[in-house]
Amino acid sequence: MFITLDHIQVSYKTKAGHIHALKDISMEIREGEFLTIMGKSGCGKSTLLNVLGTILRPTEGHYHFQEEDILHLNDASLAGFRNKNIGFIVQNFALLPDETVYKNVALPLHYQKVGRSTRQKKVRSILKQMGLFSQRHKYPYELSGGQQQRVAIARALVTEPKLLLADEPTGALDEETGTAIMEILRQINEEGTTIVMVTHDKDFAEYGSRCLTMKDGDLVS
Amino acid sequence: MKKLITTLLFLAQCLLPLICLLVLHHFSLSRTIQQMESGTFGQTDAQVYLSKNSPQVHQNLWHTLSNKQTDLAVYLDDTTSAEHTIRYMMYTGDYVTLPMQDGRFFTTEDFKENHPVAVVGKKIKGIYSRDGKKYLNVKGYTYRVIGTVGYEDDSDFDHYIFINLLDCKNTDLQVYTFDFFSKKKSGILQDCKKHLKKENCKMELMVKEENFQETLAVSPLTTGFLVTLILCGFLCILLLTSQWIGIMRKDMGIRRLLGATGKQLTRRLMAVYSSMLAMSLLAGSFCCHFYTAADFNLYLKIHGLLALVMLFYAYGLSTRESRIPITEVIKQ
Repeated sequence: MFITLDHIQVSYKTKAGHIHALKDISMEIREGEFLTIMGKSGCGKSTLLNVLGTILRPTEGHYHFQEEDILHLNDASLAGFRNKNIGFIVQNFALLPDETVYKNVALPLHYQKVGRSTRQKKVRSILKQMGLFSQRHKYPYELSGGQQQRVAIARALVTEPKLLLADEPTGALDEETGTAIMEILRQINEEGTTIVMVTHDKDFAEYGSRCLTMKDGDLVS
Repeated sequence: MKKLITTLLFLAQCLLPLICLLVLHHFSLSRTIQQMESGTFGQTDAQVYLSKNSPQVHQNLWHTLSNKQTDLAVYLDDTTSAEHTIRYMMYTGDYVTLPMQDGRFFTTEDFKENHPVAVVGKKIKGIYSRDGKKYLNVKGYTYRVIGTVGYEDDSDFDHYIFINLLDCKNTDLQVYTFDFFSKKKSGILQDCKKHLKKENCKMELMVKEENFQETLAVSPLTTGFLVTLILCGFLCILLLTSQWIGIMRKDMGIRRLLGATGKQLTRRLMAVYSSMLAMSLLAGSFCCHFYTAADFNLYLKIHGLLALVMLFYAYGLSTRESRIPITEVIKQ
C-alpha cells in the first residue's frame, strides 16, 4: 500500500484541557489515487493533511509511506523526505513575496542541492507546462490569484513528488479560476501523481476518485 | 514593512557604535581639557636631563621606548618666546584626544626623521598656505601644519606649537619630560639611560615622579544622559532585530514547508544579519574616518563588541522561530 495511517491521534493541551484534533484515524491511500476529504470547519481535515504532509507529528500512531515508518525520522531527515516526496498547495498560496516566480518555483530544488543547470531545466519545463514562462520574472503581487495558485502548483510539482497535498486550493479563487485549477489537478493525477485534497466545495470534491468525510476528528465515511 | 524595518535596523547598527564613540570621545575630551592646564596628561611624569641633544639621541630614545609596549610621551619644551611655547614631542601607544579645530594631531607614524610636521594652537600666527597645504616657519625651519588644537574657550594650548621631536633642530634644550600614561613604568628610565650611553649621552633624573590626582569628573547629569542614550540605542537595535526576525517568520515557515531544516534557515538568517552588520561597519568606518580617524581602532572595538552581542541575540531569536510549528506560521 502506498500510504497507511494506523491509529493516528493528534491532541493539544490547552488551558481548557485536552483537544483531540484527530481521535483515531486509520486509513489507506493507493498510489495514483485522487482522494478528497470533506467536512465542517474544525473537524480535523487540515490536521489530517498536515500529518500526511509530515509538518505535524501525531501524538500517537504510525504513518507508513511506501512501507517505511517515517515518524521515526528526526526533524532534519523528515524535512529532506518532505522535500523529495511531498508537494504542498495551500489556500493562501504560500509564495515568497520578495522572490520572483522563477525563484519561488526553484526553491524546493535549492534544498535538494540540485545543480544549477538541472535546476534551470526543471524550472523552465514546469513553468512552460503551467503557462507561466513569460511571467517568470514577475513577483507574486503582480499576478492574479489564479496565476499565483498555478505558481504554487508549479513549485509543488518541480521536485516530481509522489504525493501532492492540497488544502483548499480553490478557497481564495472565484469559481471559474477554481475550476481551471481543478482541471490542472485532474491532469496531474492522470499523469500518475497521488493527490489528497481538502475542500469545502462539493462540486470540486467530485473531481476525486474517492471522497472521505470527517466529523469531530473522526472519519465517518 | 520588511524594507522599512531592515532600513531602520541597518541605520541603528551604523549609528550606535558612532554614538558610543562620541560619548567616549566626550568623556576623554572633558578630562583632557582640564589636564591641559598642567601640560601633561599621564598618571605620573618625570623630568630628566640629557647631556646631549641630537637627532641620533632622539632616534635612540624613540626605538627604546617603542619596544616597551607602554603608553608614554616625551616632551622637550622651548619656552624662550613670550608669545608661544614650542613643544617637541613624541609618544608611543595611545595618546590623549586633544580638541582639534581642524586637521589632526600626531599619530605614531609621524615620529620619524625628515618629517617636519607641526600641530599648532588656535592663536598661533604666521601660518601660510602653499599648494593647498599650511606651513609655519619656526626658528628658521619650515614645518607643515597638519592640525590646529583648540576648542570654543581659551586654553593654554592655544599658544603651543607641537613639533615632531625626531625633527627637532633646536640643540640647546636638554630638559625632557617623560609623561607616563600607564603604571607600567618600572625600569623604563633605566633602560633609556643604558641605551643612551651608546650615544655618549648621560641621563639624570631631575624631578622625582609625581602622582597626579584626578580632579576631573564629568557632570553626573551629562553622564546619566549619555549612558541613557547608549542604552536606548542598544534597546532600539534589539527591538528592531526582534521585529526583523519576526517579519521573516512566514518566509521561514514556507521554506520549512518546502524542505529546509531549522539549521539551514538559522544559517541563512544569520548570514543576512551578519552582512548587514558588515555593511554598517563599512558605513560607520567611513564616518569615523572623517570625524576622528585617530579613534578608528576604538571604533572597531566598540562595533565588534556590539556586533557580538547582537549576533548572539539574533541567533537565539532565529533558533526559536525555526521551532514554531509550520502549521501555525503558514496560516498567518
